[in-house]
Amino acid sequence: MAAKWESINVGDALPSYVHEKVTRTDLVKYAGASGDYNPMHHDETLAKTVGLPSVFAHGMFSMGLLSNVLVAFGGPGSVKRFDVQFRAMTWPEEPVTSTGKVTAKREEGGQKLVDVDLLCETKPGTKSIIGSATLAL
Amino acid sequence: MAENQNQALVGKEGPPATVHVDKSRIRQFARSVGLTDPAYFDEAEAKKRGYPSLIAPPTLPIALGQDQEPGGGSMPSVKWDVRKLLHEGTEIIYDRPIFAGDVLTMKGQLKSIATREGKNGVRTIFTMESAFYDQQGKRVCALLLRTSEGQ
Repeated sequence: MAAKWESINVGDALPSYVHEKVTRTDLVKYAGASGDYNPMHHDETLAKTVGLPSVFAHGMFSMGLLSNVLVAFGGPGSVKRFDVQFRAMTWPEEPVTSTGKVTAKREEGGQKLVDVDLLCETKPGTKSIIGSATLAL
Repeated sequence: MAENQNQALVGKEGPPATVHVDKSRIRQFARSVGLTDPAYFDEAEAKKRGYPSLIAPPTLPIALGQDQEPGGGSMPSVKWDVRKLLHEGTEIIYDRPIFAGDVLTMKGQLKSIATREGKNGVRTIFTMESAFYDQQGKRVCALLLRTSEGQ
């Protein structure tokens, strides 16, 4: 169940979402779903020829994982704005932990809004995404 | 600093494209990012919540370009060195949720060119916008992709 606006407080944590391990199969699935066939995300041979240790995850794959936090908190139709900065690459075998925190509550144009800060971490302390969002509840 | 060679493209829209939001795409995309809410998979459940059909996952707009009818939708061709590009960030703004069955008009443009100091010198930031409109011409969603080019 989505959270109720009235009972939300600034500082509340959103339900976190853990993707245990990024696999190459995840990246192929995401390439097919998104239509992003940049070979750096699935062609290991080519990735190595440009000096990378392996393929790496689409930034938008991580943003998609992060969206689970918003959907769990506000429900599927709640997202008004979702903004991320990509800060570090995500590699196969790494976990991705997505978290969020309420930064503000406000009413605007008859809508009950919640602003949140968002984070994806791979290795402990490595932030792959920092972001923010506004949800209408 | 010299003006970027792509400056003249700023604000020019490519030809509009018609995009069909499809149930199969919604299910495939939701599965690919680990979403499990039935509103992405089960139309009866989506309707129980008052939605007209399956609802789009929050980041689906990135995938909609592939579901366009032929003949439109191209972004202006920005000249850059693909070896020096980084995907800096993405912003998605919803005026209303997107649902399966929506027929949307997609318009792409190079929105702005800016610069920022990076660790290894100045980077040029290109913001590309895809905006999606309903059949009444009302905006439904805007997708902004920020890509930077190093020196």
